[in-house]
Formats: sequence, C-alpha cells, structure tokens
Amino acid sequence: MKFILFYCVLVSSSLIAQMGPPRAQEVTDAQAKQIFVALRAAGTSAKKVVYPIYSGRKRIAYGISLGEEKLLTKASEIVQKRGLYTANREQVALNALIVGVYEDHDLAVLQVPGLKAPIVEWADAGNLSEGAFLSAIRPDGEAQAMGVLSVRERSLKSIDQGFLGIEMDTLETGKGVRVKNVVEGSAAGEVGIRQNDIIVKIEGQEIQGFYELSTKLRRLKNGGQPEIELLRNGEVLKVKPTLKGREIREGVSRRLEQMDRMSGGQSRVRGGFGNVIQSDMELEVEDAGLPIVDLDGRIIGMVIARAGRISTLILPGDDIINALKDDPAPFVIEEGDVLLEQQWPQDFHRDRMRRELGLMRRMMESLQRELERE
Amino acid sequence: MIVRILISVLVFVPAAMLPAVPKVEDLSDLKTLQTQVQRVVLEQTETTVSLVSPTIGASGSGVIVSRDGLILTAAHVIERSKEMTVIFPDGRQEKAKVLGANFTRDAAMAKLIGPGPWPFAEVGDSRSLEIGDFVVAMGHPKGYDPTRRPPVRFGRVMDKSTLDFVTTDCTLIGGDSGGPLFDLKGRVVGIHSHIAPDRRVNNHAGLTGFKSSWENMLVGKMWGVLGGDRRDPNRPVLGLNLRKTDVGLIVDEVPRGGPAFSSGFLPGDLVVAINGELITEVEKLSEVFVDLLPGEKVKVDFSRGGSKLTKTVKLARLGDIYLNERR
Repeated sequence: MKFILFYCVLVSSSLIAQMGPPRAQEVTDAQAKQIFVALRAAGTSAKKVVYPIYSGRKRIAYGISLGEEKLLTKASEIVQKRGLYTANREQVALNALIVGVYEDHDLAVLQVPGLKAPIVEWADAGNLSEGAFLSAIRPDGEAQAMGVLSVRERSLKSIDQGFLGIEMDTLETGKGVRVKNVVEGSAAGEVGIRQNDIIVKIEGQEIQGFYELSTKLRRLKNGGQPEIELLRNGEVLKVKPTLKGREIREGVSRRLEQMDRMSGGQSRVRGGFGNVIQSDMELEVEDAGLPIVDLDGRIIGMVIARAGRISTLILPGDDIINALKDDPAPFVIEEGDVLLEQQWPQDFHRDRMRRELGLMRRMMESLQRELERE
Repeated sequence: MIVRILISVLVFVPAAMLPAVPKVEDLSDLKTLQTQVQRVVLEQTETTVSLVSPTIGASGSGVIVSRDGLILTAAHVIERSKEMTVIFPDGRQEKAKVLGANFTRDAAMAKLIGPGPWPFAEVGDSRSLEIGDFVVAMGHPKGYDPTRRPPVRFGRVMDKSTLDFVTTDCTLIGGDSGGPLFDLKGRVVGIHSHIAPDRRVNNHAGLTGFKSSWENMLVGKMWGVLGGDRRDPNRPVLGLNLRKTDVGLIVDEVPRGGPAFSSGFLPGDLVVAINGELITEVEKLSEVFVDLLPGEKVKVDFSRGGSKLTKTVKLARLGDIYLNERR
C-alpha cells in the first residue's frame, strides 16, 4: 500500500513537472513481454526436460529429467514434504518418490514411475563471462525469469579459502599489517609468526593493509603455500606457511538480512555450495530446480537457491555430472530407518485420484484466467 | 494566459518527439544486447571500487571517473567520514580523501590519494535516459568480498522522478550504495542511492544532478539533507514569500533583513526565471536551489508592471531570515 502511494506521488509529481513519463509501467511491461517472446527460441531443449514438482496443491519446486524415470531437484525443498508428484505433458499426475540425496549439493533424485522424458544434456558453463544472458525455462517453454551472470563460478565454502590464522590489525599505517593475535595450531603458529609481527610482503608483493592481505590469503585457497615476509623488531624474516581452511563464518548484519527478507522469499539452504554461479534473475523459492539456458539454448545448470534480493544461485551442469557419478545417499524418513522408496503409500490410488482432480481444477483455473485475459 | 500556452507547447512538443523504447524482437537482438552488456562489464569492473570508512566501519561503493582519481559515490556512504579506504576488485587497497557532498541529491565526491593514473569511467547524463533504456549496475553488495568481482546486475529504466533520481529494476542491496549505474556505452549515468521492498524499485542519483552540484562538491562543500527537508535552516533562500497564481509565482511579502529586501523587491513582482531557468512552480524553485548554498549569487529575472527587470541576489540561510523556523 505504501508503495502504491509512493508510486502515485512519483507519477503525479512527474505529471505536474512535464506531463511525463507517460504510462511508465505500460511501456516497461510491453517491453518485458517482447523480451520474453524472443527468449522462447532459447528454451526449446530445456522445456522438454523440466517438470513441476507438487506436494498437496502447491508446486514446491521443479525437477530436471535424468532419464530412466528419474528427476533431479533441490533436496531441502522437497524432503520434508509428503505426497510428492509431478505432471506429465498430458497433465496426468505421476507419483514421485525420493530415491536418494546428494547432501553436499543439496540435490535429490526422484523416481517417477511412468515418466517418459528425454535425458537432460548439460553444457559447459565455464566459458560464460559476467554479463552473459541467462534464463530459467519452465515446462511450457516460457522463461520464468531472465537475468545475467553476475558472478562466475566460485566456492561459497569458507573452508576452501586459505586461512593463515592471525587476527589482523585493521589500523592503516600505509605499510604492512600488524599481527594482533595468532590462533593456536594455525598455519601462522606452525611457522612461528608472533603477536606484533608486521606482515609486509606476501609472494613478493608489498601489502598496504588488511584488505589486501586478507584478499591474497583467501584467494590462495586451503593448502596454499605463500612466501610471507615479516618485520620483527626491525629485522626481516621470511616464512612459508601451509594455509589451512577457513572455518570462520562471515556474519551478516541484521540490516542486510532485513533488506533480503523484505525483498521476497529465500531458500532455507542457500549457502555453503562448493561451486555456484550467481545471477540477478528474480525467482521465487519454489522455482528451484529450473534449468538455466544461455542465449544459444544450452542448458548450463540448474537453479539451486534463491539467496536474497540480488542473488539466484545456479549449480553448473558439469558439477552436477560429477556429483551424479556417485550413488546418492539413501533418503531416510524420520519414523524409522526405512527407505521411502520401499514404502509405497497404501492409499496411492485414492491419492492419485485426488491429485488428478486437483490438477484438473488447476487447469480449469488457468483456462479461466486465459479467457479473462482475452 | 500567454505564459500558459507557452508552457503547454513546451510540454507537448518534447512528448511527441520522445524516442521509441529500445526494442528486442528476436534472439539476435538479445545477443547484440548481451555483447554490449559484456563489454561494459569488461571495461568498467576495475572502476567500481568498494569504500570503507576506517573510523565508522560502514561500507559502500564508488566509481572512479577521472585519470587523477576522482570518485563519485553516495552522500550517505561518506557521511561523517573524512577519509575512506578504497578497495579495488583485485584486492588492492588505497586511500581517498572525502571532498564534498549534496545530501539532498545523495551525491558525494572523494579523491584517491596518490598520483595514479587510475582506471576510470566516462561520465554520462541521466536526463537523456528514457523509460525502458537498458542499464548495467555494479557495486560491492554486502561489502567487499575477496571471492568475487563486483556482481553484475542488468535492467531497465523503470521511472524517473524529481531531483534527477532514476528508478531501475537492477536489484541493489546494502553495500551497493554509491556504486555506478552504466548506460550501454559504459558511461556512468547514476549512483546507487536507496531501495523499496519491491524488487523493481531501485533508486539511483542521476548524473545530471551530480553535474549541477559538481563545482561545489569538488571544492569540498557539504550541504543538504538526505531525503530533502524544506525546513533545513541551512537551506539557501532569496527572502521572498511567493504565491502561486495562473501567471506564475508572485511576490506576496518581502521580509525585512532578507537579501531580496535589500535588492529592492516589492510585493506584486512576478518571478520569471532564476539563473536562466524558467520558474513557474515552487517545486522548480527548490530544484534550482538544491545545488546552491547560502552566500552564492543568483540572477533573478522578474517583471514589474509589464517591464522586465533583472537583479543579482546573494542567497541567505533560511534560519537567518525566518528566525522562527530555526531549530
């Protein structure tokens, strides 16, 4: 409501000022429509492999076909839900059962008896650079959202980043960084770095301050062996520590959290991925599992999380291929150590009837919406 | 009456001449657009810096716009800081001195210490932006992060509002403030300012506004209030009480002791223009004054009894003229 009011003020003030801009939203809406029509040509192969995943009356995710009646989806969005099903292209409901999960990637494999779908063909995302256009394709071939590649593939696991094990003085002296404290058993401790040492060079490069040193170390990764030059009582010393993994979790301010929260839903699992692409495309939590295509229509990955106002995270196709080389961990339900795949619900047929009715109702609703739009 | 017709002509002619919204008709149009966006990213990434206040610890973004290291940022990023730590996308760390700021425009400047040459972006213009124009936003959201380069956001101009603020659907979040909005030629056309809960409402201080405050910011002046405040006692005023009429703004009263009083303005005078800008609304007057400080001189064109007159008036502080409004 506040926003509408704000918008009215904007519109009215600009109207008073110079009778314009005329119908700003109409103009931008029409333009968006045009772009989405153009994007259809990029979604032709992706639309064949993507299926909605429902629980009860609600779509909770999408899944991508792995062939052999299997779908790949985001694990954390579906494992706690009961009565999972999908709909085939004839809009017939098909039960989906969890075969197993890849916890590290937050992926789940679903078995869908009766699903006849082609196998997804993943393309390499490594050659895409920042600014590349990406879109998330729905089963109807339309893009659910379009965005750009914001940040290239990277690990969101802090353990992958190099950790020297010192507390740095953020005071800027213009030359080097003073060691405020050394963490016991850390890489720094192992090579004898002490409190009040001044780190002046890393890998031959002079260090001006805290950010430079921290960037260098974190980019060196776990196991990196940088040559570090330090000053102790006016003497120059050289050490070569073997960096360990960073286990410190970066805190996010409450203000930032609030900004993300007010801007729509976020996936419960949205961090800690070993390799993800970040995009600015605007999706919702229940859009996880959508295939991502580039402008050539190549399927370069799958939506793995909605991670805040500016960020949608994409699992690159090559990482998915690697993950799937291993068998998934069996999925265990809470009541006992019984695998869900062995447990076919007793009232399966009744459930299916109900779901089909539900689907029909949804179809009727969408038909009605279509009619109303005409 | 004549003025009225003139205004309506001024309004309708540009409306009819508005260039069309950029069109995207097929995949090849999108590919052309993609190439343009990628070129902007490639050329401008290193001009997009993170700014951290060493004293307060707050962090925002900025963009370098000259070889000798002039940085444009948002006023609320440098608020209460004299110096900022500048972090380049590759992790290099430098220092910048805070110059001036116009808080009403959320516009500010800082200057890198050190001779450079620094990588820099060209300065563009926001007034020529149209609804639907494609733009690229960069910045350091949630502060500097060594695991990534400045995340790229792509979007369109969704709306334009007063004081040269521009609304786009390039999503922004804390830490982006002060970062650059580029047009497809890689020119800075806006500086990230504030957001609304709606993801399509991301507001940027337009570069045209920066340009009108440029000289005062460059010499280190700080003025204005974030979000604007008509009762700001430091606001510059002429010392004229104006009344809006069909023909324009007419002088109602000339308070004693004000600059207009000493310049000889009289009730009944019709204000026509200030510094050459046609004034028909109080809002327009505020727009002209937003870039000025008390003590600056303005040229006032007005008419008295049918004859056109011009006077130069030295602006006063609002709080000094209207004592009861002093806080």
